[in-house]
Amino acid sequence: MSINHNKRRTARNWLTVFKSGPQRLPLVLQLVGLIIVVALLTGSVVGYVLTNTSRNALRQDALEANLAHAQLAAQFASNYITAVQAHIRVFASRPDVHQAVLANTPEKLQPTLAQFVEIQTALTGSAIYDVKGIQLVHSTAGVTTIGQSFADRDYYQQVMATRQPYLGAPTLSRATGSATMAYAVPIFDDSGQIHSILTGGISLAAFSSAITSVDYGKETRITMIDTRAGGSIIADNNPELLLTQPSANNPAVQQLLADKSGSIEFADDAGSAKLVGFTAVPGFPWGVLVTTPQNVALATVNTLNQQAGLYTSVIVLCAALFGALWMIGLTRPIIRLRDTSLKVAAGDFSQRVRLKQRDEIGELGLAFDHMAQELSDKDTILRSHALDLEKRISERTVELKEAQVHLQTLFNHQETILAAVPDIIMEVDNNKVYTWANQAGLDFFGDDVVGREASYYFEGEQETYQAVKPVFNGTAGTIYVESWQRRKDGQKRLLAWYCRSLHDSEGKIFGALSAATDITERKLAEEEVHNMNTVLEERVRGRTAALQAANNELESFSYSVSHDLRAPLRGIDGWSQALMEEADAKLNATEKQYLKRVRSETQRLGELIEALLQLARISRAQLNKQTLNLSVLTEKILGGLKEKYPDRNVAILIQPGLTADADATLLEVALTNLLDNAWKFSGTREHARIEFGTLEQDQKRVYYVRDNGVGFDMHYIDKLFGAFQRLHKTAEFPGHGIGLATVQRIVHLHGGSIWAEAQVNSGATFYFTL
Amino acid sequence: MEHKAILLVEDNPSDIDLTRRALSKSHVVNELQVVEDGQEAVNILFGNGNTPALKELPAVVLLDLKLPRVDGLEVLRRIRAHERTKLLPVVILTSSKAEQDVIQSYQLGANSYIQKPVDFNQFVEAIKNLGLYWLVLNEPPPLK
Repeated sequence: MSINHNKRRTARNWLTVFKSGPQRLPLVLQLVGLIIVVALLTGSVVGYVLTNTSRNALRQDALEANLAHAQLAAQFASNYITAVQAHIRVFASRPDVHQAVLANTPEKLQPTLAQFVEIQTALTGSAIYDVKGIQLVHSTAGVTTIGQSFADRDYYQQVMATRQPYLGAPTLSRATGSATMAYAVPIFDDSGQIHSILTGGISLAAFSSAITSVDYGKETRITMIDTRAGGSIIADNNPELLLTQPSANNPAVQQLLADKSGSIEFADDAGSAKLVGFTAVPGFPWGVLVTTPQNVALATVNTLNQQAGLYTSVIVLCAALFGALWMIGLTRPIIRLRDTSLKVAAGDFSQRVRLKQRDEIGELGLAFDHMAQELSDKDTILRSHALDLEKRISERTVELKEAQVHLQTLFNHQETILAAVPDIIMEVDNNKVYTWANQAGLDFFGDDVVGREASYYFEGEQETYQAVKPVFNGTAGTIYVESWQRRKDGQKRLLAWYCRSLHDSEGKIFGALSAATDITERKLAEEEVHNMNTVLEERVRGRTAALQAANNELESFSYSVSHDLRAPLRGIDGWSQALMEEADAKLNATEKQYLKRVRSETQRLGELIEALLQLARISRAQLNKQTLNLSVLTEKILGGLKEKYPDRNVAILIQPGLTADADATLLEVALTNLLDNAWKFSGTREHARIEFGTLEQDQKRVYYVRDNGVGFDMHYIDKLFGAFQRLHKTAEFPGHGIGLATVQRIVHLHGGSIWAEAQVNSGATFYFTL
Repeated sequence: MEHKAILLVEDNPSDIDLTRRALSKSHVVNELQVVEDGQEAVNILFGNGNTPALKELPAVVLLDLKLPRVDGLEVLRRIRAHERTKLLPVVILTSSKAEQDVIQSYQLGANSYIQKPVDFNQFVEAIKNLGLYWLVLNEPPPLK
């Protein structure tokens, strides 16, 4: 039930969201609008392209026609003027005219001139001038200009300069007041000099009407201009414009003045568009313009435009109408789909669209109905799941309660254990504030310990915080620290702490658990031991110093012994010898023997002193260990003995390659003593034998020196290594009893031991380790 | 040929006489000059107030180590420190065979170290060898 309720609420939320979005026109209107826009755009584009094409074509045609008309008019004007000029030239060379002129009776020609002007209708008048420009006669009788000078006229000056006929610039005739162009022809005398000038004034009115009388097209106007001196109109449909200046803004006029031909479209001073063709008149300083208003030339196209507009409107209207009907049909199932989906979204899963169409929208409807069916099925399943879940939750709740009871039991159990532990166990948060304590903790610090900071209980400056830093920043797991703390009875106690960081479920440190033991007594005991040790060490130092002093004393004593005891001995020996030498004759054999005794005893004492000194030296010697080849050393010592006693026959057996880490000097002394003994005590043997070798004993290497000499009684073994101890009589085997003591010293100095085995008359073996 | 003297520095009269006897037994004819302590040795070598220095340096100095006043090692040190005597042959002739003495003597520039043997015959032998070596075989340094 609750799940269904949630779903409805979600759907409603979604609708709210949708409706709060920006408002738009209904789908139907949007689609109809689209169709109208498309139809309008298409119609306009097609119409525009069509009219524009025909308009351009027409315009081009009109321009070309105007140019052709201009060329025709130019040709016509050229022919017209050429013909008039020819007529004037012919008239000038008429014999009667020529004769009268040369006879200086031009006034007789007045009627002839009048007749000529009457025949040639293009002329307004004709006159004859002398070479100074003075008018002599005029076609019109009685004019006031006779006798006046026309020397300022360009036709007069040009003819006089070039001796050629010349067409003057258009101007108002002085004689008739009408617009004319003077055509001047020279009349030569028999010697070829200019005698007079005949002029004919060509009427611009006549010329203009001849040119404009042709039909150049509807509302088409023709204008001819003289291009000299900024231009002036010499022919136009409007005769009033003759001799006026053409519009300077007309680009066609500007082009003509620049002696160009062609056709262009331009806007005149009033702003209306004109199509104009223009060209120069061949052989004359003139140009022709044929001008048609643009709207006249393109009138057909404008009509076409209007018709196209009408058709477009009709098409758009029809499109809108049909489009609307079609769209309504098209959107109806979509609207139904929307309404149904809103109902489904609101939770009514029984709603279906049931569209019968067989197009994409129909498929969409089917898919929607299918989806709605699925939703309805899922809803049913969900409800059953919800029921199942509720049941499981209630079951789990029961289980949880049981687990809680179990946990509580466990917790109580742990509490009991923690309370029973004699060690103090405390928990602190990251600010070192105690958050929990076991019974031992409460007993030590007091019942109010929880909530207090650890430092509250510190006795004096403690480095505890510094020491436990790694526990709180996670760089160490457990830290041991000792610190002096105040017990609740005020006593200062030393606690040994083991601190360990506490982590929450995300692994973050939230405090530390510390266990402490009161080690005050132990510490005191340790300190006492330490103090005693210090006292002992001091005592040892004192003794050592005393020993050192004694040693030094002994050393200087030895030195004195060495020096001072030997000096008198040398004296005794020396003087005994002197006596023996000086008193040789006076002494008998016994007395000589006595003196010999004195000397031998003296020497024995000397040797004894030497051996004692050696023993003393060895006792104080510093070991300088190195790897020695003992076999080679033994061989060398025995070699020396063989040399010294060449009569002896001794078999020598040396185990080769025996090495040891030992002091070279000391070991040579030790081996020399042992081998000397072996040599000495085997002296009575016919087949003496001396061995040097090793054997393994208790995993230690044992060296031995063995002889087959007289040996000794093991009964006296403990006297063997004592100084001045002898087991043999001096007479038999001389010696001072210090050799083996010296050997033992040396072996002991190397950290080894020495012992011997012997039997009387069966030889002796000395063993030593190093 | 003139023989240079031998300077013996020795305090024990017995040893002085024994040395004299040993030298004569070895047929050494050089004069034996004897001084009985270190200070006297220094005086005779370098001169001091009353005592003038020897005009001619001895061929060799036989020097005991254990001497009254100034000991033998000190005498040796002064001989070697002095420009005039630094090349003078010095033979240590002493009863001591202590390693320390031997090393120190050689370090201070002794030319020889001989331990006086107890046996007089050996002593004579040693003096004989010594005389032979230092007075006959050895080419002495050029000393004034």
